[in-house]
Amino acid sequence: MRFVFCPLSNTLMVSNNGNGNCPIIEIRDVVKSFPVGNTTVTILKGITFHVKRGEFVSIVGPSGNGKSTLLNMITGIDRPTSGEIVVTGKPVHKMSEDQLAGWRGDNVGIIFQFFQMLPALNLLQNVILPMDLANKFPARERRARALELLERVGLADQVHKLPSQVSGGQQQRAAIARALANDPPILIADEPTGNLDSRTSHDVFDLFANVVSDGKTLLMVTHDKELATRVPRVVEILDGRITRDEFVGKPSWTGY
Amino acid sequence: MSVLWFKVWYDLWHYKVRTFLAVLSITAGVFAIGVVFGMNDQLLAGMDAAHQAVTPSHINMGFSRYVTRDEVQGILRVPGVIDVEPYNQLALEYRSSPTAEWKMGVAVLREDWEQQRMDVMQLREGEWPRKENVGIERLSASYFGANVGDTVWFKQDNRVREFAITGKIRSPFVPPPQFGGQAFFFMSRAAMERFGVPSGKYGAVYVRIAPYSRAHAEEVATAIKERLANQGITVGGTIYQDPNKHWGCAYIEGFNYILQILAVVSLGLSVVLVYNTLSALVTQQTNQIGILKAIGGRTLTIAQVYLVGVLLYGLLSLFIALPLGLYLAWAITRMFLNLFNIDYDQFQYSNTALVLQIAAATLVPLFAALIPVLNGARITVRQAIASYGLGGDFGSNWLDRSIEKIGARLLPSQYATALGNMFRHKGRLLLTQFVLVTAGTMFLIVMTLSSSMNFTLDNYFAERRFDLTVYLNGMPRASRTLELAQDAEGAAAAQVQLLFSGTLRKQGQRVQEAGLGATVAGVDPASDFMTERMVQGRWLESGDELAIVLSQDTAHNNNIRLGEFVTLDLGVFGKRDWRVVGIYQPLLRGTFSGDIFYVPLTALENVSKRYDRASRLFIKTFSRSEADANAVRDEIRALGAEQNIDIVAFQTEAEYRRNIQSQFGLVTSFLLFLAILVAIVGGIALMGALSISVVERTKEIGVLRAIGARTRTLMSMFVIEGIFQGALSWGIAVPLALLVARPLSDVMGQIILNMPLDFQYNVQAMFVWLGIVIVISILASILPARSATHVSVRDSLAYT
Repeated sequence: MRFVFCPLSNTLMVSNNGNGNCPIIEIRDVVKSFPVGNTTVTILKGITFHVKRGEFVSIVGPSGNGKSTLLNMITGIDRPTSGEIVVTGKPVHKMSEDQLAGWRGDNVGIIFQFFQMLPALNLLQNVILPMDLANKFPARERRARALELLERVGLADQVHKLPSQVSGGQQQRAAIARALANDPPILIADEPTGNLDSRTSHDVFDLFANVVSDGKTLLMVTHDKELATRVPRVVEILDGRITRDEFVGKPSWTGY
Repeated sequence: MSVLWFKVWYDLWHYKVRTFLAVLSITAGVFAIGVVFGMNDQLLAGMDAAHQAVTPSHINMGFSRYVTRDEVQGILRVPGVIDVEPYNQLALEYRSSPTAEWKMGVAVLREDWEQQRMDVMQLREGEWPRKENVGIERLSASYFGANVGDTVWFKQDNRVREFAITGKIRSPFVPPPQFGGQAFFFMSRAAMERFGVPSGKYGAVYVRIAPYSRAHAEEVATAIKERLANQGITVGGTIYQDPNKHWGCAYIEGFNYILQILAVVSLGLSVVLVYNTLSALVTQQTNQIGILKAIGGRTLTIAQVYLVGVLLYGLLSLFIALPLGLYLAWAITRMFLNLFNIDYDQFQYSNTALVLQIAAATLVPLFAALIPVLNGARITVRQAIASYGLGGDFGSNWLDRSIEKIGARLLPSQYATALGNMFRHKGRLLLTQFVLVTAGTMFLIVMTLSSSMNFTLDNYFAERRFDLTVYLNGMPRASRTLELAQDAEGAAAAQVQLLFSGTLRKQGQRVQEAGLGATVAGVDPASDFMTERMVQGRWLESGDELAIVLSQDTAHNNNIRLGEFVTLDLGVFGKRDWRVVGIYQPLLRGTFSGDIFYVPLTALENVSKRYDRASRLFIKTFSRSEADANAVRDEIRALGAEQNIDIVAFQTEAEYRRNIQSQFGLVTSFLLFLAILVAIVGGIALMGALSISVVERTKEIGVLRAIGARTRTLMSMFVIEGIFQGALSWGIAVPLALLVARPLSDVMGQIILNMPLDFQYNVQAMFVWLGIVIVISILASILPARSATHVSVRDSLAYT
């Protein structure tokens, strides 16, 4: 047994196998405001919450209440007006754009609602790309790893197709493979099933479940209530505040 | 290949039109730089090298009588003279068939054709002239259509002689026939003696001195004249020559200066285009940049990806522009050098141009792309992939609000949208306008220069109220000469001039050598046949006695002011002081025509004691047409032959004008070529700007589609925006060209005519450019407009 320092809570946590109970995502008093015309609209009104390693968290709430903004804060895509955000031990709210880019490459895999595959690259190349950027794996291993990831998401026979040549569900699977390319500890998914039909949504969700069972931390914004109930922890945001943060179950696949 | 480099390649290959436009725009600039700088380098070096290769004489002197070889050898005793070589030159009429028209030509005799020591003429075909055979200058041969093996007929004093052409010879000092140069023939001593040249005697010498400097050459020439004067020999004309610099360089240097400015402008426009293209690319790929950053791409990595793309554009451009530019530079150099009778058949290139082209194709686009690429690469993920509505800050200032009001009041909604869109991104509007305005201004300047040139010539020739000049030999009686004109049917009026070669002195100092550059013309002050363009003082008036009108160059170079007295030394014809009453600006000056000083005819007769004599006869025809001038020329030729009046040459005013215009035509053709190049570049710039506009407004187009905009409406929105851009640029270019064209017209005039041109703004070209810019705008906006119509509602609104 050993202790690790958790910066935001300023405490020492018990660590088992190096992971321990120290939160991998720590958010404290985060406020986010946007100027609209002559006034300011506050989207997030002092959010505080932690996510531990290996957790699968679903963030739910009506549109326009700050869910995606909160995810953008965690990935460093957006910055808080005030408050602190520490992810994988790094104060992302203080990092420069370039530091963030490098950090994201190593630590965070992002899955977007509209897949955001680079249209010029085929699925295989799209998955290799983060590895090229992060230079994390030896160049000769990248292709094999990308093929393995694509096989894992069920796209072994589609690897040479361009994003425009495959369905939305397949693009989202490829996006998940891309998010896993550098083996990041955290996956962030913003409405990952928002653009998919019900059956495909379930397939994608199953993939997420597998990923989490491998020890990844996954935060997902979703409107899909049914899917949200399958996630062990649900955080509800309403009018810029957390109105609910509860563990709704211990699904068999998580080993929780 | 790394996935990132695959993306670079994909962007180049997949967006072929954009790649083509980017490559084309860089190519245009690199090509212009290669041609102009390559040409400049090779041309001047080629001319000077060819000049130096013929061992040019430093002084060329013509005598008023034939001299013996011993008298020529005596010149070697003058300190500073290291070599002397005599020659003869004779004006003759010739024709290339028994029925062809007689034309004026020049026959040359060298002391020993095979042992020339300076101003060396080169045998190019056949053999050197022997006995009854003649050689022909090769430029004359090609221009006048005569060849080795042909027969040529010469006429002098009504005696016609037939000769076989047995050699083609290159003379480095013949004026291009296109510029009004006469045909040159080369004779043996035996042949020349048949035209009255005394045996063993010469009329002119080439002199080389040591050490060479212009001042030393003038000193030596004066000493030679003094020595010859003691022997009773008058020097009729002296020409100085720089042994290192070709006589045509001044013309080429001035012309090149303007071309170089235009080439740099073309490259500058290319830079703007690369900037625009990269802005378009980055804007189009903002979303992708956002994703790259979201998955770990750093600013430097992303910038590298795009800059490598730019480098590839540049290398592709270089691949096209380098060989084309180098080849054309060589081809144009060859054309010009051939015009100046210099061979340049083996392909050569300028290292300077090569380096400049490589730099222009690689470093310049990279430099131009830095700002849009770095701006794009620095964009945050949120800026790149987040979308908060249709965006834009249009409406935040008075200009936007004014535009909006104009659009709302005067235009249908879709046209008002086009107008508003044009002003939405002012930086881009400024760049596009910069390119289009530059293209328009250049076009208008070129056309204005052309019309100013014609206007100048119109004005100049309007002051010359005659149609034919007859050059006379041996100063025949003026009264007999005027009778010739009276006898000619088409001649309405005639006047004579008396010409002498003289030396001008200011307060005892020699200021200008007499010769081709200093001829004194005695004119009738009451005549309305001709007045020069006065820049100071006045033209000669009736009642003037010892009054002289000098050329501006002579007055300026020798600091002679109005009212001062100058001494005109006419050698054996006397020496007197003359008061400067006027200074004029000659139309043409230089190697092929010299400065003329004007004095009253009666005063010149009194000083020279040569009364009732004529050197030139000017004839005005009834109709003032070229046809009538030609008819009168034929009549005068026939009458002259009948009455034993020795006529050396004829020149109609129409011919004279054509010769001047041919010199100007070369320059305007090049300028027009560059203006068209810039116009094409302008079109590409507009297309780039509109393409960015389509990409940026993808979402807006989707919304328009969703609310019922048809394909035709979307097309017209972009085409009309293009037309607005074109029309705006025209509105700026028209007054700008008016401002810039005047000083340029002055410079151009100085280079070609040695005087500022009479400025005439080309109003017709103004409307022609409006038509061109509208067509360019429509063509440039069609592609982006088509792209806009292909955006589906789903795609555009999903594009977040």
